[in-house]
Amino acid sequence: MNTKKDIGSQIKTLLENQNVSPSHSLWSNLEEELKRKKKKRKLSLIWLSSGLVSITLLIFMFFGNPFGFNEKTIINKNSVNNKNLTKNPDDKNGTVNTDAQNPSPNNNKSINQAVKNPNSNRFNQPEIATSKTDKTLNDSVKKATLNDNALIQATHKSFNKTQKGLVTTKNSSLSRSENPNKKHLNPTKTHRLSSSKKKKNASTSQKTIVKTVEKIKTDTENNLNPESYSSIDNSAFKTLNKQEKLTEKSLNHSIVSSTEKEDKKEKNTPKSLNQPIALNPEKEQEIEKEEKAKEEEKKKKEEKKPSYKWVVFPHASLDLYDRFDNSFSNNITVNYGVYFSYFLNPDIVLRTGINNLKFQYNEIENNDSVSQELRYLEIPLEIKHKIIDKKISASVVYGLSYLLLNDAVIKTDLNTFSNKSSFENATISLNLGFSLQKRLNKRLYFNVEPIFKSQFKPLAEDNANFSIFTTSIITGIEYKF
Amino acid sequence: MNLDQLIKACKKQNIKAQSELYNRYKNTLYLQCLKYCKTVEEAQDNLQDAFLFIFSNIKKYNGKGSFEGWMKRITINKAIDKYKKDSHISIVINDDIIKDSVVEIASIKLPLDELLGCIQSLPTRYKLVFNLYELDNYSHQEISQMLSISVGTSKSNLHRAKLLLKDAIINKSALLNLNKKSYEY
Repeated sequence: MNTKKDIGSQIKTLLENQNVSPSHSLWSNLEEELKRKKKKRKLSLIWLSSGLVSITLLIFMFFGNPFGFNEKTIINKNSVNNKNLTKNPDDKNGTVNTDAQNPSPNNNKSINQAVKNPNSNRFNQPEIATSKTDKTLNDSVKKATLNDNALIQATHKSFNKTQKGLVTTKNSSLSRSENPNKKHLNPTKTHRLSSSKKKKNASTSQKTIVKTVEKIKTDTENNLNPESYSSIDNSAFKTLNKQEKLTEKSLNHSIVSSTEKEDKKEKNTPKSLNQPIALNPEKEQEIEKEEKAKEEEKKKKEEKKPSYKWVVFPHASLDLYDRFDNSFSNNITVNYGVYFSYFLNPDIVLRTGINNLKFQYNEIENNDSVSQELRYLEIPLEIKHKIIDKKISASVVYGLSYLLLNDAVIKTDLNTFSNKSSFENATISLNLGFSLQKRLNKRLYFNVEPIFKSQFKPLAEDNANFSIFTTSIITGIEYKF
Repeated sequence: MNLDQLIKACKKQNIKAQSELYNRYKNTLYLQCLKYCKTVEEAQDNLQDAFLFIFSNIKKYNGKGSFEGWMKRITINKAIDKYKKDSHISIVINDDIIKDSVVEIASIKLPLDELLGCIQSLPTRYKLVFNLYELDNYSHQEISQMLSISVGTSKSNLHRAKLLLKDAIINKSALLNLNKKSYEY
């Protein structure tokens, strides 16, 4: 006899004491997920701290000096200079003294020195006013620009003379050698030299240096004492050697790091694969489980793998050019370029490209504004490592950039001239930043990348100790294929 | 290790404790998942999601009430979340006719997988209402809030679910009997 009962209560009693177990691989999946979450937590902490640091850096860069430490010191320096310039200690009436009205022998000396020693001129070395000799020279030029238009013109004439007298940065060694022949350098030849340099900057820096050295040799053979160009050779070859060492170091480092990675990979491979399979059935099961888990991982990774391997990323960037110990003004420019990337694996991308960079900054001293413009061709070699893969994915970007100097120009209110010789023809920058990416469709992605770049010795002068950095916000649409 | 110690260790993200907790409750929660999901694969996914949520939110468990009940609620909520995500796909029949929810049937003699298959074959909302009300002791008021439906709809859904389930069970048992006889023959 079958007694009828409510279907709900019947099913409930039937299911109450049942024992069903899920598949064995579920725990291994869960374990992986838990480990990933732990890693993500750690990474998010690192990101939070690095984000805070980058934000503070950006604030410093875009809003100048919020605390005004350096500005004050500059103002103080300027005020001191003004005092020294305007007030003649010998003048009891306290009237404003101009060099034209009262040309003291000291001033004449300093102007003469400026003519004799072109590389010590303030306009050719906008930031290198630290040495004592330079200070006296600067004073003489500043006085002239401040007080009398006639004298300004006179100084500019002398300026042009000095400009004509410029050959390369290596002339600093010439001036040090006190060679009397340096005054008789042919201005047309020097001009030819500077124009030829512009063309050659498209090639590698080493080639340009070698060529310039050769040119200098030929020019100096005609005009200079052979003793003097030996010093040029030395300085030029020193820079060559430095660059060679840098490239060698970077190469060695990359080779060492790659071999280390390979060693690590070998170490990380599970022992079970290298060792013979144990006879114990429990161990066998464990091994099977591990293998299954690995296969699943592989499958997941394969699923993740994009069908495309290459990426083109035309971009525009907002670049801020600044120095660590002080800050420039009017130093933000807009630039453009193209990146080409290759997927090493779904998370790591190797990228290079070419960027046309124009940097500029202004300096105001004694109401006289000087604008420096620099043009570089940048060839970056960077690695983009994806760390967050969600609606907006985030990657860390790190690498190096090779910067070829195209042009360097100083613009004053009255004059514009090249000071390419004050900068190295080529330099390297260390790049670090992160990339935020929003998917627009299967192939198009919108990118925003704040990147910090620190340059290695961009200035040619030995006494220019300060280091330059740039902060770029790169944006554009990436195309994957 | 007793339950309190286990929970404390899990709160410290101890992987061994998490493994032990998983082994203790995996069967109970998996059965729960099988009742609420359409397929075995879906049930396993739901179980994984539920355990991940449990491990990452175990700090929120304050010790009040049954720990197993807390875990069961999480598992059910995960299944309901999925239903809510896919609700635009499923056919929703809005009938507010309140009927008596008692549907009688002779004793069920189906194996567990077949019985679960019958439950899984129900339309999603009917299945949820049936499971919540009959198997997990939720009231119609609670169900209406959980599924964002009216109490009347919950009641009528339960009645329809029972009728469908009855038909499914009868058909399944008839098929099984036929198969048995043909095998004996």
